[in-house]
Amino acid sequence: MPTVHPAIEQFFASRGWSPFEFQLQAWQAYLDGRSGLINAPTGVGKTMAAWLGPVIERLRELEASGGVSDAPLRAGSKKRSVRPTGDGEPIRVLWITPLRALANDTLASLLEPTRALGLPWTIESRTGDTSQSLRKKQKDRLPTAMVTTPESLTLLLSHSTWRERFATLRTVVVDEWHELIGTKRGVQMELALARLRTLNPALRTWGVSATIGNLEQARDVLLGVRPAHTPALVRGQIAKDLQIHMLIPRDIERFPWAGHLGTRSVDVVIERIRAARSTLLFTNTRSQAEIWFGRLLAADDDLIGQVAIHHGSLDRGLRQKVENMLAAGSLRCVVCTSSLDLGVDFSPVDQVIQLGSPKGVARLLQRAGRSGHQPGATSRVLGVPTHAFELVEFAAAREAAEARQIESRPPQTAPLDVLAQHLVTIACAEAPAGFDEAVVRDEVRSTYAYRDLSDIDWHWAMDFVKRGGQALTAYPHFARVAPAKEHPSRWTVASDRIARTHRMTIGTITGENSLAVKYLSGRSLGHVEEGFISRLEVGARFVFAGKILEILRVRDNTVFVQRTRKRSGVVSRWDGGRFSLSTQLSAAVRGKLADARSGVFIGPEMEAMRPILELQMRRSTLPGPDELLIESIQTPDAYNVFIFPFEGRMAHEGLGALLAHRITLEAPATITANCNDYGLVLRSQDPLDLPQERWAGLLSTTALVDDLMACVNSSSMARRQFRDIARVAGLVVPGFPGQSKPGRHLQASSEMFFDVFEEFDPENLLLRQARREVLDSQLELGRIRTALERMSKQTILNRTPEELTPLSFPLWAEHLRSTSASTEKWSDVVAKMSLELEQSATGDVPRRPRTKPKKQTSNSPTSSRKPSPRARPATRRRPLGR
Amino acid sequence: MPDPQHADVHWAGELFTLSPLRVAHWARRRTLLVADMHLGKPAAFRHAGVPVPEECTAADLARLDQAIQSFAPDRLVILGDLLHARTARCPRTFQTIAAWRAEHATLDILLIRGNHDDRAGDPPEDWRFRVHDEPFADPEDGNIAFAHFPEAIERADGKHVLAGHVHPAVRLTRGARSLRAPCFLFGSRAALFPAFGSFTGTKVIAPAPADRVFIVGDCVVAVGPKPGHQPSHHSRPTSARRRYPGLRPGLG
Repeated sequence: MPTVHPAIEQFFASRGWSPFEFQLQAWQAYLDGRSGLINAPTGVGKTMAAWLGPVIERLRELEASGGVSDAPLRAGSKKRSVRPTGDGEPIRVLWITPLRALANDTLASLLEPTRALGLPWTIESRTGDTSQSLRKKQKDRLPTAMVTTPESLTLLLSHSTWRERFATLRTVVVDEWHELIGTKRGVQMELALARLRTLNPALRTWGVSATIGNLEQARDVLLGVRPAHTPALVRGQIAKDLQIHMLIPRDIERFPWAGHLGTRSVDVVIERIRAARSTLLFTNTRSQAEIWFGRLLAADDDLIGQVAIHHGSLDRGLRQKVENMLAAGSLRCVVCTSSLDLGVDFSPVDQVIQLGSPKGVARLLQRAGRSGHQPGATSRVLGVPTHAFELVEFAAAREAAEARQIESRPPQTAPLDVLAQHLVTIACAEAPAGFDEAVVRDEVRSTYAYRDLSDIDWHWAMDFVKRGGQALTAYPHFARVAPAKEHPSRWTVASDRIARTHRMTIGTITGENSLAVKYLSGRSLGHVEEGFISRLEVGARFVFAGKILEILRVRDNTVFVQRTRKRSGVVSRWDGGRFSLSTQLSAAVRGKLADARSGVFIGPEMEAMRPILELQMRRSTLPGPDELLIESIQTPDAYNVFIFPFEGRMAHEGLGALLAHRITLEAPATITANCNDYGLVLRSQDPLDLPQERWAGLLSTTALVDDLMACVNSSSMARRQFRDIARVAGLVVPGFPGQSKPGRHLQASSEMFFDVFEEFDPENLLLRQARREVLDSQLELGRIRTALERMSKQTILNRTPEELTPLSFPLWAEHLRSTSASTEKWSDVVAKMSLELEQSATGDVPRRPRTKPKKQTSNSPTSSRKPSPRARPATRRRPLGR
Repeated sequence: MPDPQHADVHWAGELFTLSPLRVAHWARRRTLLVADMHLGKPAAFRHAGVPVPEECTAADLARLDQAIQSFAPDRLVILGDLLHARTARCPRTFQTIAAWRAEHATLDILLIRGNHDDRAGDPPEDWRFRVHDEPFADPEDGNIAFAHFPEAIERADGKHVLAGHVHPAVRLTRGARSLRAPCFLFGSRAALFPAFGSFTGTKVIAPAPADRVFIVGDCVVAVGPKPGHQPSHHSRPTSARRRYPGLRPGLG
């Protein structure tokens, strides 16, 4: 082993570890002055690989200057930040974490080696949760290493003192970069790094990432387009055994064909929880986590106090408590969402259970890595299907994981809303002398996201902050950025008030506005999205943090609640990211079905699925690799055409809108499109006449972008997408809990902005961006194009089964999300709505019996009210048609 | 011949014609009725560093012109919130409004002060608006009084009240489809008008079974409650605020 530093070796030896090859590589590359990306599976020491480079560097410097630092440490200090007597060293390292909830964990794991090695460093966190007193201290002087989020960093960069404060900064480490790269926060991070590099061209940037398909691109995005040295990509190839098992339903013929809760498996899951010391039960949505938490407790009293819930909406304190209890080994099981996908040195659990398909290979690997979280240990994951076809998905996911077919996370390109925000940030930072436009443009273009930013877009963004838009006369008396008094050719923030409002909006890049959930006593439970709560009225009940809560009142971004025992009218559904089946997994699923068509059933999952797949073959067929299956089935409620491209929910949503649009172009009609991960259904009240020869035209890629754009324009998709853009671009001024709201007279919804721009400034580039984002990220234009190209080469199998098939049933049952295309006039649409009012305030709280926790007495499938083949209204035959 | 896009409503012994321009015409009194114009709202936003195009104001006034041309009223009654905020009083916006007033010099304009007018201040003298606090009525208005807040019924001497403030809208659904539209609502004693200003939001309300609701889009259409639907809280006598959960003082 090459010697890095004796003290480090000693530190590792004292813990019974020895450095991995990739850690040595990362440290050496760092000491050589290089930047780069570290990729290693979860739990094998990524943090140490990134952190000890700067530490070793300092140890060597101290030796060169005559011995280890003599700054004594207070022994046994339990404080999170260890400040040696006298001042710590000035700032050297910024450690960026995507979630502020992770900041404390990170802090602890960074502190451990520095304490042990006796470095005179202060290490502190700086996030939205940081106390006022620590902030004040940090105002005078930043700690030697600071753990922070992209938003908090941008906020620091918006103050005119930023140059002095970051003068001694040498290194930025971006943790969990794979979480940021595909997002606007990732772009915010790129811009912040570009700023810091102007200050110190020798700045070293290191990223830490889980395995994704585009690691090299991820590194290039992080390092910008002008890296000083050859960038490094350090990969930890530690073979960690991975075992993926499935919970195969005992009675597959009675197992539901649709649904996403999977609570019928609760008894079996409890058996598994009892059998292990500690379990992480991963769900895909927060509501599913809440429901399962309730079910586990209801089914087994012994678990009370031993099961906890953890998801991103819960209060940080509650989450921290759960994490601590898990670390201490005092919990049997934690029901969680992707909130526990991340996390540093999370204590290993015995087993990981994945409820429902993971929908992506990377996600499955990440979650599996939570068990046996120590170098060399085996990762085990138990998959629990929520409906029959998830057996196929799990089988496909295992195959793809073994073949290392991992998804990519493409970065965002040149979002103008983020650029506009950044320009105001710089204007704030450079007040009062102002910034030089050419210099800043050059800095912005040094980022990967804006490397090809056109002059036109640059000028538009500048015009937007200078005068609201391109039209000189359109926005009188508007200015966020104005010429500097002393240097009229330079630009500075227009007023202190603008600067204050702007700093408030910086933190809001994350996403939907959320409201705090609190008891009247003020105790906080967490937060929920505005969209969820706006559908509820005072008095409505919902499940949150494992409790049934009744809404008392909503005021100033806070929902006040009280606990209740009444269960009637409980709503458990709120937004929480339904994942779309990834490209990799879709291809693997297609492969599995093609195998089944030729009679090949490999593995216990596919063997178990055999009766259902054979039923599909009897009623209709299964598509082979060069075939596209289309089923036309009439049900009492509509005429349905089912199409099965297997491209994932998001691409199907776009395909559905496209097909509905193309069909309705020829004759005025209203067609509703529903989709799932396997296919889409077009539904109409009138017969849909779609003979074989029409499909070539309907599935053509000709005029694809134009047609999709027409769908986007005629639907509310662009308006919805505009919500985020309006917030980032500072159109919607947020109110914060505890802070006085900006005047009510300045509240406007993003929809209002969308309409007013569309009417009076249709060339507004923010509108164009909204449409582009809908096409690229919401409808997955790329995937739609690939799918259409593939489908154009496939043979169409047009089937007309007499009853719903195993493949079409889940789609038919999918009433929740739908897109419609209509060429009917507004008045006709209104007429068809049977002139019925939705009683929006109280009446629309949907009673959803199937999400209501209900004590299960047996594992009998009849106790479930999930849509199952048996609940089909049309033909009430046994599912296997016997 | 009645315009098919309009809807007529008999209420409080009077006949009102509802127009998709978000105005109503009261033929007997040759009066055009509008609520919640929020003029200058774009200027107030720009003042705070939020870009909203100025053309909104001119477009709203052009829509009002259209209504004046088709109904040829003698009197215009504004049911509150003419100006959006004090910062709406920018020269450019005021020039636009003054020029519009000059084109309709003979029109009698009555403004009922709304909560926004309280903050924004009265219009300049030379616009020649008659400005009154709610509830208010001219002697010939009979059983009808004008107000901004629907709660003014309690102070209206038993008269029926035309009011604004709420920016009412209803949501229509059919299966998975849903449509939200601004509306007129005629209740037992108060009528609610949709907000006239184009850069204004709406609030979805829950009408009582007896309320008559007309949604406004390309045309005005009467809608009714779901047959047999009787939410429990409508059965007991309620105050206006309870009946319309959207009612909140200060809602712009």
